[in-house]
This record gives sequence, C-alpha cells and structure tokens, in this order.
Amino acid sequence: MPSSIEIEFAGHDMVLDAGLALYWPAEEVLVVSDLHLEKSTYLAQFGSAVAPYDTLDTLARLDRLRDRYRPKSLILLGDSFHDRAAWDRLEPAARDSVLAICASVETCHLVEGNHDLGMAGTSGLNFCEEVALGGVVFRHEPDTSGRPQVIGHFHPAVSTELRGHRLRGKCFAMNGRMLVMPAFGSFTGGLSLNDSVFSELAESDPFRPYLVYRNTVAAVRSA
Amino acid sequence: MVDIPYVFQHWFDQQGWTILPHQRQMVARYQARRSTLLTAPTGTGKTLAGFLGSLIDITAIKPRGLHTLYISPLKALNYDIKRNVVAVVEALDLPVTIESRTGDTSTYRRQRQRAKPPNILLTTPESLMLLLSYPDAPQMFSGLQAVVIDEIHSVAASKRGDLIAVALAQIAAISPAVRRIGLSATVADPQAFCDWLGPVGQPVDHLDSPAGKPPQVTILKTKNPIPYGGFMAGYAVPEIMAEIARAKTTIVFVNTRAQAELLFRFLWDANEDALPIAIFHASLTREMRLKTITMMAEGKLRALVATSALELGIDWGDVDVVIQVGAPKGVSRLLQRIGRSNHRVDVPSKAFLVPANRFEVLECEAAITAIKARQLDGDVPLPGSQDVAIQFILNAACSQPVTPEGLYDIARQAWSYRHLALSEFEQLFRFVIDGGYVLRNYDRWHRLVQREDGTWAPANAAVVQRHRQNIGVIIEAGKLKVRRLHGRGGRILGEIEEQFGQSLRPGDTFYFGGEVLAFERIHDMTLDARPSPAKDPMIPSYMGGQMPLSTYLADGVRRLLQDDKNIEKLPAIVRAWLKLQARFSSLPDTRRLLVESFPRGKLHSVVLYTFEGRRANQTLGMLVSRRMERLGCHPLSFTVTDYGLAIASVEPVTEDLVAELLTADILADELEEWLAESPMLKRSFRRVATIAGLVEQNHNRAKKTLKQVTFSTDLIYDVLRKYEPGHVLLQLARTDAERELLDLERLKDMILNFRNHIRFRALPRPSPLSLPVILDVRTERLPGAGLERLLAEQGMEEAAEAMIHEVENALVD
Repeated sequence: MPSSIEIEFAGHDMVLDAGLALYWPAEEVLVVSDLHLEKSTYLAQFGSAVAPYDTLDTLARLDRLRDRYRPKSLILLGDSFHDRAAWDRLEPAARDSVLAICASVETCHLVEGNHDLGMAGTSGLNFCEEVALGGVVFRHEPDTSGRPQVIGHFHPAVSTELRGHRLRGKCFAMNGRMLVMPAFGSFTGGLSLNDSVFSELAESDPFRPYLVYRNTVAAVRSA
Repeated sequence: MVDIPYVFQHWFDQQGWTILPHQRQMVARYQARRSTLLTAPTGTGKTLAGFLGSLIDITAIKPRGLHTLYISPLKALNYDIKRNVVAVVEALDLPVTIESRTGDTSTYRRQRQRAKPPNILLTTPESLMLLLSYPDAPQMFSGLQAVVIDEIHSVAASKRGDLIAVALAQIAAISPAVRRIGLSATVADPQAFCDWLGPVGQPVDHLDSPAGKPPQVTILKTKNPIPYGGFMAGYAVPEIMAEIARAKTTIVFVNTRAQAELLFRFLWDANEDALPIAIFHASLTREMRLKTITMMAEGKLRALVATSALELGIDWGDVDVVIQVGAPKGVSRLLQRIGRSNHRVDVPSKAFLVPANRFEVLECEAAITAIKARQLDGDVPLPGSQDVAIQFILNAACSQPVTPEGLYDIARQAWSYRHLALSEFEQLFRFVIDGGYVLRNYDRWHRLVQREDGTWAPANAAVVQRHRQNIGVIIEAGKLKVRRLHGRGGRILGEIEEQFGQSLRPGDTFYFGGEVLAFERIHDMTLDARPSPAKDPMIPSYMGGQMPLSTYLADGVRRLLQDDKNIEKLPAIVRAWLKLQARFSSLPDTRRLLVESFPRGKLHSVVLYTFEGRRANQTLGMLVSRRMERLGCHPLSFTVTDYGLAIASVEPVTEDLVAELLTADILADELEEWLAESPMLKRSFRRVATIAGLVEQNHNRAKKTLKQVTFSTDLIYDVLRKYEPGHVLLQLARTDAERELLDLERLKDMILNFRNHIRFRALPRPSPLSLPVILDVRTERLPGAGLERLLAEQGMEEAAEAMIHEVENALVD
C-alpha cells in the first residue's frame, strides 16, 4: 500500500499520496495530473515500437486510487491525453474505463492542458479551463493572479542524498502559493527541480520537494 | 610469389626502409586472394601492411569505384590513417582516391561519396551500417576487393563487433570474394579472432610478426607512501613531474575522466617550470581535442594526461615515456598503452606504473610479471547479441525489400550468429514488424509492411529516417553541455553526465577541462558554470570511463598474495600493510574465503575477498545483499572492486549468519528474485531497447520538449514486465545482463568452492586490507526496503525537528 503524508497548503490540510495523487479531505476531491494517455501509440506513429500498455496501466492505477479514497469529485489536471487524437486511438475497453471512472464520482473535471487542448467537445468528458475550490484554483499551467494554485504541466522530479545514497524520483513541489503535481502517466518522465524552469516559477519562495520513491512519499532536501 | 612493383620498392629504398617480411607476406596473401589476421607490434608498419596489397592492386587496375573498405573503432584513427596512407599515395603520385566517412562527415560530402565512391573508404562500424541501409548499397559494394578491420582486439568482442559481423555478412552476400584483413598489436587468443573474421567454417589464416624488444616496465619509486585507498595517486606527483621534465614527451595515461581532470590539476600545481602539459578525454569538445592532438603532433607539448580516448593506434614517434597512473586493469591494455612510446622496433618502450593504492601495487606487480612471461589477456568474441540482429534486419529492409528466410541465411554466415535458430530470428523479425506485442492490436503502427510478392519493406519514410538516425550500439548516458560563463556570454567546454549535473546545487564546485567551476544552473540541457577561485572543488569527481580488471590479472594478484616469497619482494610499505593485516585479521588464501565484519560509522560493513573481478563481484553483491535483506541485516549499498566486495548494512553480519550468506541456492532464489527488479537488468533493458529501436538515442536532446526529456526506458520496463513478461526484449535484456554483467559461471564455481570454507573475522574496526575496498567511491545503491525505511525515517526526522522547533518557539513566548 502506498504511503501518504499530510501537508498544509494555502491553509488547508491535504494529503500527498505516493500513488502520485493529491487528496483534499475537506472537499473530498482527488487530484491527479498529466496522464498522457496513448503516448505509446502516439510515438508508434513515428516508427517507435514502444510497449502499448501505458494507458492500461495508468487507468488501473487511477482506479485503485479512486477505490482507496472514494472521492466525491475527481480532477484530472490537464494533459490527460497525450494528443488530441488520443481519444480516437483508445481501445474500446480503455475508453469505457475512462468513462466509468468519470461516472463513478459526482463530478469529474478534466482541466485542459496544452496536450489535450481542443478536446472539449468530446462526449462524456467534462473539460474546463480551471476548477476553483475553497480559495484554491486548480489549473494545468500557472497563472499570474497570485491565487493559491495546484498545477501540473512541469513533471517535477528530484534527487536527494540519504546517508550517502542517491535517490531520484518524481515529486510534489510546494511553496506558499503553488503546489506542482508529479506526472501521473505510466510513460511520463520528470524534469529536475534544479532546472531553471522551477526557480523562475518559484520566484523568491523556493519549492520544497516531496519525493516519491516506490511506495513511499517524504519531504526531502533537494541535492 | 610476391609481386611488388618497382615504384613501391623504389620508394621504400628512397626512404631508407626495407619492406618488412610481414608486409611482403601480406602483399602475397592479398594477391592470392587470402584473408588474414595480422598481429604485429606497434611501430612495425602494420597499417601499411594492411593497405599495401590494395594500393598495388588499385594502381594496376584503376577501378572506378569502391575497392577497399577500412573499418576502425575510432574516428580519430580514421583521420590518422588518412594522413599516413595519403602521404604514401601522394609521395608516389598513385591514382588512388581516399576519403573518410564518419558521423562527422558533412551531408554534402556523404552524398557525393555515395554517388562517386573513393577507391579507399575509411569508416566506422556505424557509418558502414548506414551505407548498407541505402537502396544503392548493392551497386556501391559490388566491386569491393578488401575489407581491413583495424584494432580488431578492441572491437570484435563487443556489440560493435557484432555490427561489423553482420555488415561483413551482408557485404559477402553482395560480393563473396572480398578479402578480410584484421589488424592488431595484441591478441590473447588469435584463433578465436580468425574464426570470428572469416565466414562460418572458413577461419582466416593468422600471420604473426615477431615482437620487437620487450618493454621496460617498472613501478615508479616515490618518496611519499602509497595510500591505502583512493584512486588519484596524488602522492606520486613530484616523481611524475620529474619524469616529465626528464623526457622529451610523456603520455600520462589514467583510467577515468575524473582521474584525468584531477591529475592534470595536481601536475599544474607542481609545474614550477611551466612545462606545456595538456589534457585529453572524451568529454572535451571535438575542437579542443583536435587542438591538443595537433599540438602533440607538432611536438609542442611535453606531456599529455589522457584517458583511453587516446589509446588506439595514433602514432606519435616522439613520445619516449608512458606513465600509467592507476592500476593497469589488463595486460593487453597496458601493452597497448605502453606501445604509444618509442615507435621503433630496435628500442624497447619505456613505461612507469603508478599504483593509486596498495591493492593496485599488487596488480601492477602481477602485470609486470605477465609482461615478462609474454602472457596476454583480453576478451574473446562472444555469441552475437540479438538486439544488433534486430538493427541488422531493419537496416537491410531500408536498403531492399527482405524476407526473414533470406536475411537469416545472410546473418548465420557471420561466425557470431552461427548458432542463431531460425525460430529465434523470426521472433526478432516480428519485433521489427510491429513490436511483437501480444495483448493488443497494434497493426496500425507497423514498421514493416508486406508487399504483394511476400517481401517486407519499411512502412513509410519516417521509419527509415528514424532508423538511420539511431544506428549504432554505443548507448550514451544523458549528457549536458557544460558552458563556462564569462560575463554575459559563455563558451561550451564539453559534455558532462546528466546524472552528475543534476546532483549539483548552485555554488557547488567541480573540475572540468582542467579548471575549477562553480555550478550555477541547468537550462535547456546546458549546465552553466563560472570559473571559481576555489582551489579544491567540493564535488570530487564525475563518472565516466571505468574499466574492469581482466580476470587474468585478478588471478595474478591472488597468486601473488599466496606466496610469502612474492610478498617479500614487494615495496616495504606494502609488505608492512599486508603483515599488519595478517596480525589484525588474516590474509586471504587459496583454500578459504576471507570474510570480515566490522562497524563503520552508524552502519556495519561486511567484506568478502573474492578476487573474482569486478563483474562477478557486482553480481555477488546483488545476491548477497538480497540474502542479507532476508536475514534482517537491512543492507543499504555495496562497493565492488576487482578484489572484493563490501556491503554496508544497518544490522551486522554475525558468525552464525555468515554461513547463510553463501549457499548454493543463492543462485536460484536470490538470482531470480533480484533479476526481476534489479537496476542492472533495467540498464541492460535500456541498452537493448535503444539498440532495438524501441526508444531513440539521445540525439538532439535539447530540441525535444520538456516531457520527452526524461521519458526513460525504466518506465517501459516496469510496464512491460507487468503486462507482457515474456516479451522478446525482456528476454534479450536478461541474456544481455548475463553476458555483459553477471559472470554467472565464474560465480557458481566460486560459491561451490567456498561455501563450506569461509574464514570469518568479526573485527572492532575496518581491517587494513578492507580499506581500498570500502574507500572506493563507486558505490552501488540498493533498491528496496532498506532505503524506503531510511527515507521514511528521514521524513519522520524532519517532522520531529519541526515539532521540536514548535515546542522551542512556544517556550520562548
């Protein structure tokens, strides 16, 4: 069973799950970001023979999280599909599975990301630009409003030293204004928190990383 | 009869040279259409011997197109050969065109080379494969007369050798009568290479030129004592500097790039006369390397600190001393390096060895003994790897439509692939077609499609283009460009492993290109750093260029230790160290396996002195640490050297546990369990998947989008193992790991020999002999519960700290 830790963001108690998800108990909302469904078949179009099991695996993990938290609502924080044509490439069973997960909660928000922009008309999927809940806004990419926001898009990853051992993995990255979600998709990589993208994003309030290593999530120092 | 035309004979006479017997024989063998493996010491005109037959033939018949193909493992060697052979051609005014073609050749030139090939083409295995992927390959190679493969010892026993093997088979299918000529200075087992070079069942003949004078090799005597551990040999800098000052030109060879950087720095700090000393390793930019080579060739340098990037073939007559810093790691490799000095048959090469720690003294002694006894080591060719066969299939299909049966008939003409079964080959072929996945209908994304006549061809131009961009078997670690900032601008110094770059924090300092740099940031796959006034960098090293000890030398060290007479001959300081070890613990012997256990910091270490070589120790480390996990010791990491293995754990290994560590079933239970999730198998999978075209090589990474940058094969591996554990690439990764990394046979013998013969010593502190092992910086971290537990604890510690702060704050109010 993946571990989880409790954190406080924008004055609210929230849970970071080692399954790469955020749970907000007060609002009963489960958040995952950057599923990038059908990335394998996207790459296959260009001659790659990458294994076609990413969608299956990503959805199975999402299903387990939903079972564990039984949320009222679910937020997929953008780039749920690797490209606009991904919906058409989904195997029928996988498509049913997406719809079933969405239907199993009271509200399922699909926040638009840069990869799946323009899918808004897809029947059965509830796309939106952002979701606002209890003073926190959920977007794919950050805006400059200064509102506390939970975002995706950047795929943060971090390395840390632990008694001389180096660990690297996806991470949650948090500061006073912003919580950046790790990428959830089975075939999504990570961008090092050391990259200048993150320092520019954080401005004067550096991100604190919460590393996910296998089934464990923990606050670490970036190294 | 040898037919050497007057013009050639006359030219040799004019130079004051005689045509050496092996050169004459090579011409005769060329003229009799015979294939040959020529072994001859460096400096005996080996290269010219390989080309002379072709030069005479081209001059006589004036062929229109490609006549002779020269394949070398190094691009640098291509430039060098071009210079040398072109010199002969120009001096004789021969009607011979020579061009080189490597990854660095311009597109314009490449296109022209295909339209109008030179008589002699100098190329690398990868560029040759690329040529064979074009539709006009059959025309281009139809008039080919000879293929010359240089430095065959360094390439045949590798995947690049497999690449050459399939390329030779494909060329033979186009022109069957091509002569195959292999060149090498040192080969341990010539017959194996003769088998490899010829088509199956027709090994080439071996022609051995007698060696020159044996080299003079000694351990450099130093004032400072040799340290117990470490790998930098800083203690010997005064004496190295003195030898450089004494000689005209010196090459100082080291084993890793980190060593090169540090030693270069040390030497400059001690370089009171400001002698021109330069550095050469593969991370520096091409421009910088070319500049250094030119300066060296022009005699402007007194010394060059170099890694193996400089090792092969390049001849500079003026080098009179070679200094090997760090253990030689292999007899053949050492001879190859020593051969850089004094390229004259009548004068012996001169070399000094500088062991970096006391274990390495033993290794240096063993190497000197072997050189005196003229015993060589080195890898022999292994069965061809199947990921290369996958690349071969797609490569051939890019040139002409193919059938599995047709390609199979070609592939098995290569000695390396003689045992490949048709069923296996068909499985590889299916992978090329559509990835070979069973679970899902993937047919919209076929890479090969079947034509009406039953043959297979690439599905579209994207497939062909992608394949051509990814030909090759050298898997590079992710690299960051290193930019040295200067004011607002900056200059690219070279490349550094991404993993190292990501471990840096702003302000951290490290050596690169011979200076101390302070890390600022990573941006667009570039690492920005500024020159730092700091003298000693905080981060000592970066990865790259490690090499394993040959099993032959490891055995030599063991033999040396087992004889008191040998020990008496060692330097006093090493003798004292070994005697201290004998008093404090025990010396390893041939009958029993010495195992020590002692506390170290908050952790415990157990050290096994196996002398089985790094590769076997690596595997053993994985297995034993797994067993320790099962026994409740919570192992965290281990260090392997060629001599032994040290495992750090939370709980100690005790007398009653030690017998449980090495039992025969460890090769069954732990091996299977470990292989399933080992990072090594993931590494193998990464190599195999890249070569097989599952993912792209890291070309042009800066151009990729953020998300693709670190989309690693580990993710694919995990998912594939979960959903299709029998997939062909997982099988290949397993085979590859066993072949490249595990050394299972050797390990099995060791465990059977020693499982009931362990000498266990529980010690209060690290033993003298253990120091070089536990101080080795190259630590393999272990996945698993131990680390997860520590990570969780770390989180708890931070939380606890926060709570204490809260309490403190509350008290202050």
